[in-house]
Amino acid sequence: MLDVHKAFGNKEILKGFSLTVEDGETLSVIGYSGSGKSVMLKHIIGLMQSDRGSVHVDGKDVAALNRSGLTELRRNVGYVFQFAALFDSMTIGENVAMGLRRIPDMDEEEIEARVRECLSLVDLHDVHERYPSEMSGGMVKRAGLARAIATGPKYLLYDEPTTGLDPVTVKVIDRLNIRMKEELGVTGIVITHDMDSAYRISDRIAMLYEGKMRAVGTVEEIRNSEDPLVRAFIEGRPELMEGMS
Amino acid sequence: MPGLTHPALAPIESVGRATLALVRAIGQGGYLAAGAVRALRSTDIWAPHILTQMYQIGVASLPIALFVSMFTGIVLALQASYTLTGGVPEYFVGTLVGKTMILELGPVLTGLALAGRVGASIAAELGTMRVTEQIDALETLAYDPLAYLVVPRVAAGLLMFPVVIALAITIGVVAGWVTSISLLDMGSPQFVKGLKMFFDGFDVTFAMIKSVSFGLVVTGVGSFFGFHTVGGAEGVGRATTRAVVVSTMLILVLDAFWAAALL
Amino acid sequence: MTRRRELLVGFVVLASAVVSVVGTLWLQGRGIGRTETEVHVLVNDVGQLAQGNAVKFRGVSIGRVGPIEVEPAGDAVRIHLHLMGEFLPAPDAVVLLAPESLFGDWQAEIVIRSRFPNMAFYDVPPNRRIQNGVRVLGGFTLPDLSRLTAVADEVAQNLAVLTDRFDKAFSDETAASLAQAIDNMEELTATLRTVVEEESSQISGTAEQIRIATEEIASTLAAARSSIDRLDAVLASGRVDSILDNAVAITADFRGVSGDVTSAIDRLESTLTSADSTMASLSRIAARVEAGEGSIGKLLVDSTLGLRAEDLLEQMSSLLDDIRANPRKYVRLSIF
Ligand SMILES: Nc1ncnc2c1ncn2[C@@H]1O[C@H](COP(=O)(O)OP(=O)(O)OP(=O)(O)O)[C@@H](O)[C@H]1O
Ligand SMILES: [Mg+2]
Repeated sequence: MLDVHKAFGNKEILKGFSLTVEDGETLSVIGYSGSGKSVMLKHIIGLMQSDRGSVHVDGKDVAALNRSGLTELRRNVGYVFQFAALFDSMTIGENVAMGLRRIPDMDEEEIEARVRECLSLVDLHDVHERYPSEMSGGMVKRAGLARAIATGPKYLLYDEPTTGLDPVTVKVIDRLNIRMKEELGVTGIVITHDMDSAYRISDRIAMLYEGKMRAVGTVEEIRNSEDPLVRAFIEGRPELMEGMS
Repeated sequence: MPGLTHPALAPIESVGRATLALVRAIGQGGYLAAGAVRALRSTDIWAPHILTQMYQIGVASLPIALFVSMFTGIVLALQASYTLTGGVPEYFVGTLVGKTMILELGPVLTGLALAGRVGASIAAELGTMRVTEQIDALETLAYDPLAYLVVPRVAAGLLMFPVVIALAITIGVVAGWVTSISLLDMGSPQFVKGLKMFFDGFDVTFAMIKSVSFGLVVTGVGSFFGFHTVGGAEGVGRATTRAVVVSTMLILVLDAFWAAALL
Repeated sequence: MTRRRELLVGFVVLASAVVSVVGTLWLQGRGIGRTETEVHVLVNDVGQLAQGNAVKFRGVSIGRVGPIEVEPAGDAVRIHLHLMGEFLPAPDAVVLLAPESLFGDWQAEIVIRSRFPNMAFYDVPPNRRIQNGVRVLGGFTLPDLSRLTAVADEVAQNLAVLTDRFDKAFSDETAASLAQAIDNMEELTATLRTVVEEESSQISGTAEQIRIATEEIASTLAAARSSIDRLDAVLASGRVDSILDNAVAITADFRGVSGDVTSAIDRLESTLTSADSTMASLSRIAARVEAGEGSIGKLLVDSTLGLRAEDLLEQMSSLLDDIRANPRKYVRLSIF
């Protein structure tokens, strides 16, 4: 992403944000609530268009893609929504199968098997026939993750996949993320507020602050960053920020 | 432009804002329509949902549509016989009920009832999907939301409105007929005579043309406001209200338009 | 679930399609799978008859009027009648086209020619009475009020011609027959006025104007009569020399008369639908007489004129009888 600007009305959210993600790596994005992390992520698959600057995926400018180009791109990308965004008129099984139905020559049995496999990957069992409204927040969230990975995408964009989950499930999800990267070579961008989890799964960590990239580096670099803002964030100590802005 | 913030300019400003909003709405509507037409190509996405929508929009709307038209037919018969006194023969009750049901009240009242039922439910459903990011989720799963959500609804509206309205007209006329026989001491042959006397096959064509256009308006407007919902539950409520108000107005305007253009 | 929906959707769509098609056909008066007999009618003019009107036989509705088209030669109009079931018209059957009710709808009634000796039914040539197995009957369209005024027009015109001829022929007999004709005309007008007055309670607006118009015809005729009286006096005194002078005066009077009649007829026309205005020719003839054009011989050639006038008067009185019997046939009022 290069010099992306995005404003809603006269509220500027991204003011020249730039970031490069290498193939096969997992990058975590951290930042304060409301700083624009979700907005940034939506630019990558064209759910939002930048006012200025450009977003390239596989060397292609996302904003310049036509509908079929965009569809092609989206087939390769899985997106985990912050609030899951499950289709509430469908059962969990149907939700997870949605992406699969867009793949030609996949018969019902294969889809069925794949759905079960993905649901058990996120530690969900016997929820096939349930509707999202009949499940807990954490379960819904995991179902959203299952839906994103079902098609076996090359890129995975996670918007806070572990927020609101119990510590054990967080570990399960983290392990899944690592497996996706190591076994399938998936490139991942993870938005997270959980530093432990970020350290566990990331190759690199980036911090978004006031619409710009504040810091980016390997886990070690961020852990040892001198930047008081970064320190304040990762240690959860607002007093370090005093006098900063 | 600080020099231009005089309070006296406020009304002009608000006119300008309203104009811009209208132009934007028309633009967005046209964009949505063009997108929906383009989305027609994605048969694999919308075709499986046509049936569900035909059921929702058509079959499930039948009770309200038939209820409305049944009572309309009854009232028409009663009022016609009340109005037509003196030298006017009583078979005119049949003429009045038939003509009015077919040409005007059948299509329009059913259209309005369905604007409340179908238009509101489409706007609320799509609006909720919009604010809970389900529409975004569809996009990320490589579905064109227009093909998945809008096309089946509009297509079902185009197909099912005429169906529902034809049945509503029939029920309305039959209700007027039964009323004439049972409450007005009129003979069945007389009612039928009046019904047939001024009947013109074009009346039915006219009613069907209207119905199709109402189907387009109700589903199209519902989809439009649902699709462009912003701002949570309140936004969904606003979108729903607007969808109903706008499609109601458009139905009446179209009604006048067809009458002027075709009669 | 899906199957149930498919079933319901299918059922509703089919029900609606069946209801629409059957309902439309039924309301248009067509049956499905019923045998139908087609009969054609040739007629000079269809009046207000339209497709979908009832076909009656002895007062019973037995079918509907189908397409109506002008014959290729342009000399007649062909009306298709769709009759229910098997129907074999009598050999001398003819079809009378007339208003069915006060509300503007017409009907085609199959009748026996001998019952209506005065009506000029279309004479279908023998070689055309059956075409492609379809019976072709002659038809006659009953005049309505507007036609009546057209007839009155024609009478007035013939009167003018008659007076003109008489003007030069000095025949007592002609004068008498003319006076008689005018008498009849006055009587007829009075009758017409009574009929209209009888009707006026129901169709007051229209009737009022008709009444005014008829009154004017009456006064016009009175004026005409006074000119004839003067002519009588001339004939009685036998002063032939002054006849030419008087003829000029009479002609001038007639010019005025014809103008009055024209305006009266015009008013009738504007209240009713249409009538050919032939009164213009009356004043034209009067002008020509005044200018001394034409010759007695030429005018006398048409000896049938007197007869024609009587014919027309007869027709009118039979019409008036009919009006008195069925007043609603002749007054049209359209709703919708
Ligand atoms: N569609 C929109 N219209 C208007 N404003 C928006 C829209 N989407 C996001 N915003 C605004 O942009 C800002 C950034 O939102 P975003 O969801 O990206 O935050 P975030 O960094 O993901 O926060 P969190 O960590 O709480 O999820 C917020 O102030 C939000 O109000
Ligand atoms: Mg967010």
